[in-house]
Parts: sequence; C-alpha cells; structure tokens
Amino acid sequence: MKSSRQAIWIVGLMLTMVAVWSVLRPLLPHSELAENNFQANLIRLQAWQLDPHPATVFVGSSITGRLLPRYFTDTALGTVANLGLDGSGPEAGLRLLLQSSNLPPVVLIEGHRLAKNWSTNDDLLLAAIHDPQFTASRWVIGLRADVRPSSIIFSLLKNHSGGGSAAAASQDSSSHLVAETPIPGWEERMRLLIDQLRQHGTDICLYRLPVGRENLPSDGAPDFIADLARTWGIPYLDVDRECKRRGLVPTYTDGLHMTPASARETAIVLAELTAKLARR
Amino acid sequence: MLFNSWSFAVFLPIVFGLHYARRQPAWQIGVLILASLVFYAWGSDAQGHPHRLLLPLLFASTALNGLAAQWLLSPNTSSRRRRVILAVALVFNLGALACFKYAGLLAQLLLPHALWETWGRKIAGIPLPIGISFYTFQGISLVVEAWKADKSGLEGLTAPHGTAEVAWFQARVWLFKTFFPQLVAGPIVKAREFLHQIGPKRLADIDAGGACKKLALGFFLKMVVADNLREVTSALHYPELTLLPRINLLALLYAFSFQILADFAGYSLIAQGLAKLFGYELPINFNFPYLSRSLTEFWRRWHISLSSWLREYLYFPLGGNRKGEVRTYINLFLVMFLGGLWHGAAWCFALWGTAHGLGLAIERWFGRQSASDKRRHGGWSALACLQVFVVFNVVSFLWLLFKFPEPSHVVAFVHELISHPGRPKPQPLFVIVLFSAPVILWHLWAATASWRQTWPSIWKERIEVGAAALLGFLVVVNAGPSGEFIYFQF
Repeated sequence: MKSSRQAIWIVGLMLTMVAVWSVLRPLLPHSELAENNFQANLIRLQAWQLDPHPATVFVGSSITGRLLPRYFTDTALGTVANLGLDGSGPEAGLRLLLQSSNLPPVVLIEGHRLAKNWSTNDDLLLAAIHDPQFTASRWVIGLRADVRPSSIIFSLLKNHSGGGSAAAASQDSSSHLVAETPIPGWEERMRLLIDQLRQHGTDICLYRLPVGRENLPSDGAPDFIADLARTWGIPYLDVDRECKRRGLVPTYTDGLHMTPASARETAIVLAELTAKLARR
Repeated sequence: MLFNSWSFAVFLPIVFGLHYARRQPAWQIGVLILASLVFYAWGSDAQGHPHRLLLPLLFASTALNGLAAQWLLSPNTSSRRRRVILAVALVFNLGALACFKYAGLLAQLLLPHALWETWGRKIAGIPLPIGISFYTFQGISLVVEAWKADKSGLEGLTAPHGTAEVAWFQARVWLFKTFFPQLVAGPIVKAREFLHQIGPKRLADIDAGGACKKLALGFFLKMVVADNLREVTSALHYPELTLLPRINLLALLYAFSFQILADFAGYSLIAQGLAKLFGYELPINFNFPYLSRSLTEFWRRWHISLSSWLREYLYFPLGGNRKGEVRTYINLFLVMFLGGLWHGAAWCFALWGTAHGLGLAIERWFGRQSASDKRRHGGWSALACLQVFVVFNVVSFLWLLFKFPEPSHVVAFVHELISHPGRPKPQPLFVIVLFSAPVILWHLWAATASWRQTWPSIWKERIEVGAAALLGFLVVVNAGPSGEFIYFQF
C-alpha cells in the first residue's frame, strides 16, 4: 500500500470509528462515574450544560456528588443537575454556574466544604467548559465524557462490585485527612458569589448531608453551617438531622462518602425537605 | 505552543499549506523559520511571563552559533582564530546555560548566607527559558562539527562566498536551530543529521503514512496514557503519600515509570511525525527502553539523542575508555553526573545521574555490559525476562529522584513502602492497570518482532494501519486532562 493511501485509510478509519461511536451512544451504557476526578466532574458539567437545563442544581463537593440525578427522578424535584464536584468545593460549582448564561431558579449549596481552598483541579474545570472539545461534544456526542471507554469500564466494574461511589473517593478522603488551612476571607468570597446568584433571581439554600467521619472542625459542624446560613440570610436544611430523626442509618464506602443505597435514601429526604421549604 | 493544544491544531494546517504553496527552498525554509518562531513565542509560562520575551535569547544563540560555524568553515580563518572562535562559542553556549539554568544552584552553592538572602534568591528566581537545554546542545553540536569538518565543510553546510550564499548559509543554520517539531523538547539533532536534508520539498514525496502512524502513536502515548496516568501519579506527593498503602505506592511508582516514558516518547514521536510532514527525518529517541537487560542497554534505548550527544561531545573528548580503567570510570561518573544535571538545577537530578553512573560502573566492573551486548539480539529466556524485570525496577526506583524535589521525600516514600501495609485503594489501581497496559503491550509488540517476521507484509501493513486508526480514535474519545510535557521543565 502506498504511503499516502495508508494515511487516507488511517484518517478515514479513525473518523468512521468516532462517527460510529457517536451513533451507538444511545445503545452504550452511560457512565455516571469515572476513574478520576476530572472526568467524573466533566460528566456532571456536561449533563448540566449540554442536556436541557434543570430547574434545581446542587453545588458542593464529592459528598454531594454521590446524590446521582436519577435518584431524584421520582421526587418532587424531578430533573436536577448535580455539581457536587470531586476534589472541589462549592466555590468551583458556584463560579461555573455564574459563567453560564442560563442560571437555574434554585441552587442548593452543600455546607461541608465551603472553606475548601481553590486548587488546580478547579482551574482545570473552569478551563474545561471553554475547551472546544466541550462545545463540540454538544453535537459530536461520541466526544462526551459519559461515553468515554475507560469511564464506561470503570462505571460497570464499580456498579458490579456494589461500591457505586463516584470517582476518586480514595483521593478525596486522603485530601480530607491532610489538614488544609482555609485561606482567610473565604466567607466573604462565598457570600459575594451567593449574592451574585441572588441578584439574578436564583433562590439559594444551604444544606448539610450525613458524612461518615466526625464533622470537620471548620466547615462541617451543624451549628457552624446554620450560623452561616443565618448570617447570609438564606434557608438551611439539616438533612443529616432529618435522616437520624427518621431512623435512617447511612453507610459509607470510605468512611466519608455514602454508599449508593444510602445516597438514594438521603436524596429522597433532601428532595422532601426542599419541597417543604418551597411550600413555605 | 503545546502539540496537544487547540492553537496548534489551527497552526499546523496553516504552516503545512504555506510550506507546500511554493516549491522554492527559500520560501519553504522561510515559512518554517517564521512558523518556528511563532510556535516558540506563543503563550506564556505558569507565572504569566509571555514566551515572546524569550525570543532574544534564542535569536542570540542562533546568530552566534551561525556566525561561529561560518567562520570556522571559512578558508580565510587561521588555525589560531578558529581555536578562539570555538572557545568563544562554547563559552557562550555553556555560559547561557549556566546563567539561565544553573545560576540559582551556583549562587546557593557559592554565595555566603547574607548575599544569598539578598541576591541569591533573586538569581534563583530567573525563569528558565523553555527549550534552552535542547537548542544550546544543538548549537554546540553545530560549532563542534564545523570545527571538526575544518575547511572541507559539513554535508549540507559549506563555507559561503558572497552575500547571497551567506544569507542561504545562515537560513539553513536558523532552520536547524529553530525547527519547531524539535525546538522545545528534542530529539536533540546533530548538525550532520539534519543539515543535509535541507532542500526543496514536494508534497508528493512525503511519507504521509509513516507520519500518521508516528503522530497517532505519539498523541496516544501523551494524551491517553501519560495524561491519564498523571491524574493518579499526582498523589506521589509528600506528605500525602504517607496515607497510601504499600501496594498503591508500588503501583504509583510503576505508573510514574510508564507515564514519563509515554510523555517523553510521545513527544518525540509527535516531533518525528511532524518533521516527516515537512519532508524531514528526526532521529529515533526511544527504542523500547523498558526491554533493557542492563543499565548500559537502557541508556542505548532511553533518550538516545541525549545519550549519543553526551557520548560524542563529552565522553569521547574526555578520553572515553581509551585512557585506562580508572579514567574510564571517572569519565562515566562525570558524564552521568552532568547528564543528570542537564535535566535540572537540583541535587536530585545530579544524584539521579550519579546513581545511574554508579550502576553503569558496577556493570562494567562485573563485565555485564559486554555480556548484555552479546545477548541483545538473542531470544527471550526466563533469565532475560528476569533481567528486564530487575532493570525496570532499578530504573523505576531511580525515577523517584525525578519525581520528588527533596531526597528526604524519597526516603519517606521508601519508608512507607516498607512499613505501611494498609488496605489497597482500588480506584487508582484500576487507572494504573488500564493506562499502563498500552505501554506494556507496546513493548511486548517490539519484543515479539522476530516472531512476526514470517507474517505476510500485507497483514503487517493492515494491522499497523488499523492500530494507528484505533489509537487516533482513542485520542479523540479517551484523552486525559491536557497538561504540559514533563521534559518542558528541562
């Protein structure tokens, strides 16, 4: 075969594979999880940006990331987007939201990792939504993170093993263990972000989920989050307390993040509390 | 500009189109030089300094080496002047390296504490000009070869007569020094390997199939293997590593070995593929280094362009192995020590080079080098597999000196590896197994090359085309988060 013919065959075959992969997407198992933080977050970002915009968006860390959108389908909230980002905190999610031209009517913010310092992980995510591949994946659906072959394999294995937790649980829990001193001024920074959202007419609410470990000293304690909510003048939902009141005993994959069964139960409780709040 | 960036995806077709728009060599060389300068000046470093600020240094290096080569080749230059020109050119090249790369280290070493606190830290803060180690070595290669060639000239570069010839001579030197596929991270091309290739290029003559295969494999190694592995090897960081169990630490160590190979070999393959698109051949830089059965063999397979440069321009001039056993060992140590320091102005790199030098000396002492050479082309016995495994582990452990900025972190890693059993964390292990497997398969493919010799050539061709297309597909759908190439920091 002539060299130029080989080149044509290589490029042609490659493009055909991408096209076939895109066409096959409805038949392929979609991954809700991925093998690393970045890809897991990309799946959530694309679901929020590229699918029809849902009315309710959760913003938080990997603790929230366990509340998969499908757990809410049969609740009063219906379709939701989850920006519970692995290796990040609510700040990254809020900044991503504020870059969008289509802000949701309701944003629920996790109270656990409000003080999480900004990291390269967050920079990568902010850069990712401006990446041409992110935009192209709107049309060439074979490029989307949820049909990434390695993520599909990871998702299948994870679901098969019953772990079902989102990506990088181990890395997340490690980073929780290494003490991180919050950079001063984080409260003011968060308040400004929340104010910006409110100025666009978005309803905000702070919530606290069950976590496996004793609450983290600065940003996880119930009173601390409740006090912040009061200071900022926004409603507060203590899902952890409500779960305990209902006699639910959450289980955890790594001592911090909920198992799929517990995450599903917690999602229902959170949806009911949110609906009750909306009625008030 | 990064090869794995969208700006490069726009840049390449424009340069390709312009290059082949006219067949005149002056046009083609002009396009490539201009494109190379744009490529180099594009973007900014992590601190926000624009890369265009680095252009004057590249200009100065290219101009001075070009003039030195011209004068060295000129029949009118006396022997005494030639010696002076060579000395000045070498001092300039090595001085530029010392100034921009090693000034901080030298200041730390030589300045008293008070001066270090006031001036030393400022000197240490001078940003490293990207690619300086690579283009400086090419400059040295040019002047040394011009010196060796005397007045007879180099193949592709003879003494110019008249203004037009001088301009043509300098244009060729500028292309040799700045050719964008290899400007920033090699392969380090020697003057005699490149200059004779400069000439008119026709689109019909390029090896498009070969270029596509190299590009597919190169981008796959970088964007799928290295970038995905980087996501987990970032955990190789002190003190976070102390939380990891033994099995994960060991897996991360291997993962870093595969990552650094995929990253750098990927870059070299992309460089070769791009050069092919413009009608040039760059030397092979990696020849399946993890199949080595000795450290000596490893250095014949790893970063070949650097090791052959060091051998030719440092080890041989020092006397190589021709001045007795003791001098041979000293030369080996010195070359490996300096080779280590070439990678960065830190004692970890020097230690890494010295450790390899020690390994090479031990092999030489026990005669392993010659035994390994004899077996190099032999078959795969159980002993050979064991040797490969041992060498791979030695090389992998030595990479720790690359990964950690402080030797104490390496000690902490080894301590945790010995003392921290813990429960394995499956998620990083999954990533490591999945993305290391292609590198292992790639090596196995090479190791079984003799077995495939009996296959019909049409089969081999179809497999290669199919594999390249599959790799290209995986680059599109399964790339990791894009990041810089590891060797950019050198």
